[in-house]
Amino acid sequence: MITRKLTKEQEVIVEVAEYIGRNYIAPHAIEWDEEERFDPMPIRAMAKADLFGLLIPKEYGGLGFGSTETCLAMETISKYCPGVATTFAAGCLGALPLLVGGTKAQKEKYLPLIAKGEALCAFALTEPQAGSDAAAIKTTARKDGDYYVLNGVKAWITNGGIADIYVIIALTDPKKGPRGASAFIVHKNDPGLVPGKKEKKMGLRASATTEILLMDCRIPKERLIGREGMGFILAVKSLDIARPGVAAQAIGLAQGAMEVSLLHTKRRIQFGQPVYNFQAVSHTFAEMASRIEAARSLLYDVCRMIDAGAKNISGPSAMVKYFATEMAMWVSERAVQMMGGLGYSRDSLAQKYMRDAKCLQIYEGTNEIQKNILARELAKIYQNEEETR
Amino acid sequence: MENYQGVFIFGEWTGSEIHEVTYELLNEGRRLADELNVPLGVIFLGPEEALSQAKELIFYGADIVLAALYPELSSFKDDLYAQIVAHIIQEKKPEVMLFPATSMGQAVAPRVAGLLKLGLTAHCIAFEIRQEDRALIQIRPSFGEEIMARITSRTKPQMATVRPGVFPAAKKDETRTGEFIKYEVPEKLRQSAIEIVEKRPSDKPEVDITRAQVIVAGGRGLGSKELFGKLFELAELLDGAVGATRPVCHLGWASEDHMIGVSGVNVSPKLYIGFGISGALHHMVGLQGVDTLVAVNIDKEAPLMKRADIAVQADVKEVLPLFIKKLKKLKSQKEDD
Amino acid sequence: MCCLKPVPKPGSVKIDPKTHTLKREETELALNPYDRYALEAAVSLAEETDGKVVAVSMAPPNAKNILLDAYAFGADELVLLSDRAFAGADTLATSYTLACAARKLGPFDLIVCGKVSVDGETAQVGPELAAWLGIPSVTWVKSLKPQNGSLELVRVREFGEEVIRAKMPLLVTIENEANIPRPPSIRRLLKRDEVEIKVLSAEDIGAEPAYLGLSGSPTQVVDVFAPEYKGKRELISGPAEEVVDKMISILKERGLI
Repeated sequence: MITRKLTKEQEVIVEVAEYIGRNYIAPHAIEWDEEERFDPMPIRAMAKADLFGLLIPKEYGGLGFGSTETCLAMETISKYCPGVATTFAAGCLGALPLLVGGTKAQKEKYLPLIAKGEALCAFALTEPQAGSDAAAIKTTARKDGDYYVLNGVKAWITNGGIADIYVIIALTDPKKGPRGASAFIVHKNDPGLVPGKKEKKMGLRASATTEILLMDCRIPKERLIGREGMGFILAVKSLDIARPGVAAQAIGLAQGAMEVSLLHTKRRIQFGQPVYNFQAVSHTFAEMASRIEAARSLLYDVCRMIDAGAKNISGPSAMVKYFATEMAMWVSERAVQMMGGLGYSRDSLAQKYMRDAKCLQIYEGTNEIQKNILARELAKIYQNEEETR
Repeated sequence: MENYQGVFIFGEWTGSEIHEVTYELLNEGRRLADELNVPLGVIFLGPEEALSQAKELIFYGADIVLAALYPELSSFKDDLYAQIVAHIIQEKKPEVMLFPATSMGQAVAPRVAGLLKLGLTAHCIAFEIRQEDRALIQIRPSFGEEIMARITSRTKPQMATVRPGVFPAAKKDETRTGEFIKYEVPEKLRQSAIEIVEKRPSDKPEVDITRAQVIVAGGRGLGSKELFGKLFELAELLDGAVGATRPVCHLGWASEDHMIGVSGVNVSPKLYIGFGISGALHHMVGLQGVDTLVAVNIDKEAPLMKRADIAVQADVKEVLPLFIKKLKKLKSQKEDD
Repeated sequence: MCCLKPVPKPGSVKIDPKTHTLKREETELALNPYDRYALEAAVSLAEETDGKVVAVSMAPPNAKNILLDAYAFGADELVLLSDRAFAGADTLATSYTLACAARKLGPFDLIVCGKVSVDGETAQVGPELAAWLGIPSVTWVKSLKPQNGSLELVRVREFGEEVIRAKMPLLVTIENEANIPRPPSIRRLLKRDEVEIKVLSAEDIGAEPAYLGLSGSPTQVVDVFAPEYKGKRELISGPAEEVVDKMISILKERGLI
């Protein structure tokens, strides 16, 4: 409803993402959810369409676009299936440490393949005992001559078992705590990298989520991204850039949920008229539409900041991730409710959106952590009451 | 102008026997040959094992059988078959040449047409002879319009392809006589750039709706693949098969094995019920053999509705599920008795 | 070379009342759906072998958009064969025209066509084109792989499949199951305004007028007629419940169910 001016390039990107959603995703979304199955077909379509090259600079074979364009694509894909969008989002997140801190040689080696969609990435930080408390990771990377040997278990890794490249955060110096963590590029067929059990999920079932076991995984030392000790810095920087993508997923999801539900209520006759006519129903859609647009405006303001090169984006990034994902949970739950029994049926997409939305409040940093970050940034701004007035 | 005479047909070998469609072409070919007062010939390519069956083509109406029987011809190869057929046509100069519109026929007929620069009309559903000039009138639906076209070809032989099931098969008459020639093909025409590495017969049950006695068919009016899918349920209830229109096959609601029409199959069931089918001519020509035709459509002026013996003017989206529900009830009541 | 045919968008067919051929220049056009699979097969193979795809279409000027779409789907060069002389062509004249273009633009290792077009539905142009060029053809191909200078193909027949090895140059027609066509590429869509379409006339491709268009078409429609259906029709209408009951009773009466 709120019109926003897009550049010609942005229009093309949205057009292609819509084309992919309609032709490759929509016909199968329910099937993939029911079967809890990752299908490489839409990912291949997105690769051929150059979507994986959006964030990659032109000199490395990408299209050299920014967060705005990536979020536009993410929002559109999510409208059709947030699960498929998650595969895309995690692929972007996995590439970010390379983009942010990789050496020229590493960028030249990996970024062109990533841009062509020939190398799907995964980001591996979380462990069974280290979720929100990321500093509690125990995976180690022991230097051994010209190699590093990695040992440990990573959990809840999106694209686990299907990625070509895993960016793994491991402790090179366990004594230093978080400052002793480093980021490594591990290839899917490096000896000692073993995808573990597949997680059984409530939603986002079209995406592959597994444990990753590192058992004396031996990799050449050139696979260290940046320098030893940079692990958490790279992880945080990457998450800050990627979080608006989750907000974009949430907004696409909410848009899809609202549309499915609204269209249904206009067709469904009860008490002699379309259910939409009842204020309890139409008012709910009025609220949905407003909250979606509010989140969307916030998102693209944050994207604009990032694309303009703002130095500290932690606060805005956390803000939009938490705001949009809470909104999506609310919208999708209401979407089911407005559809009544049919909303509850797995023949309809509404319940899928609701189950998918839950994960968005949890992954890439729980919303509680996002609020911690936001509150911390707020405190920095409002340090001294007299100074800021 | 050289004298072209004779009606020839292309006989197809399936690998183990002569394809049924060959006898159908012989039947119509015989009729045309009689009207033109010329011999009916068969051009047959196959392996030496086909000899005895090829000879029997005479019992099915052929006056002359030109059989090229070589080991290299045991499998169909586009270039190989076409160059031999073209060679035989150039030598024997028939005025009419008919091919089956099977995968083989559809591959070889246009190659022959290209080699000899001839006109070719695909998927004809009927033929007539124009007596003034002995021209073969080829009849098929005109594309885009809801009418039939009469087509002629000014090159000789006049060539056409015919789908299996359009004409009834000729009956065997062991008293018939004719000439069987084991045709000698020069060595250089037996070369091919194609090599068959492996044959993989399908283990999927073949969908053949042409023998079904009851056919329930669906068109775009059904609105969704899900609703179309209900036709399979209905077909099972009625012990029949499912048919589809071409647009619906394009949409992926059914495989082309179910397609009824000018480029699909021809059916002749006792009962045909078309749901949500407007009745494009391309589809209707496949229904010529239907005994009782029922159409369900919201538009009573739709061509299929006008053609129907029983036209049901209603919304298919309501009628189809209800029809299935009531039939199920009837069936279970019957079983209780 | 990939042959692409623009066909009328459903519902927008315009026929010339005299010749009963399609007036393509006045009709809204879309790419023949079967040609998408052909284009995808050509582009995939070119990617695998570092080759190039030349998309060729014999069509009036309003078909340019379809060629630009082909560029977005991966074609490298775009050629439109456009000339009044081509109009009204049957499959023989069409395949002749395409053959002249192939000789002019080639030599090609492989020519790829869709299995059939949704308007004419003859499936003849592919093999006829191959015959004009004197190259072998294999129809209904569902996979193709380069294999030591030849191509290994899987071809669909009624009984199942055949694995075929064929030498190039070769023409193939592609089955729908061959692939899932790719979406348009953002990179290519962004270059859409700069993409060149080579427009060639009959003279440019060295085509002899006698073989072109309506005059080069041995097959002609001599007349048309509306089929007559005899027999009386029984019309049933009303609410679904009633109508279904009536249907069942009539069919039972006639011993059909």
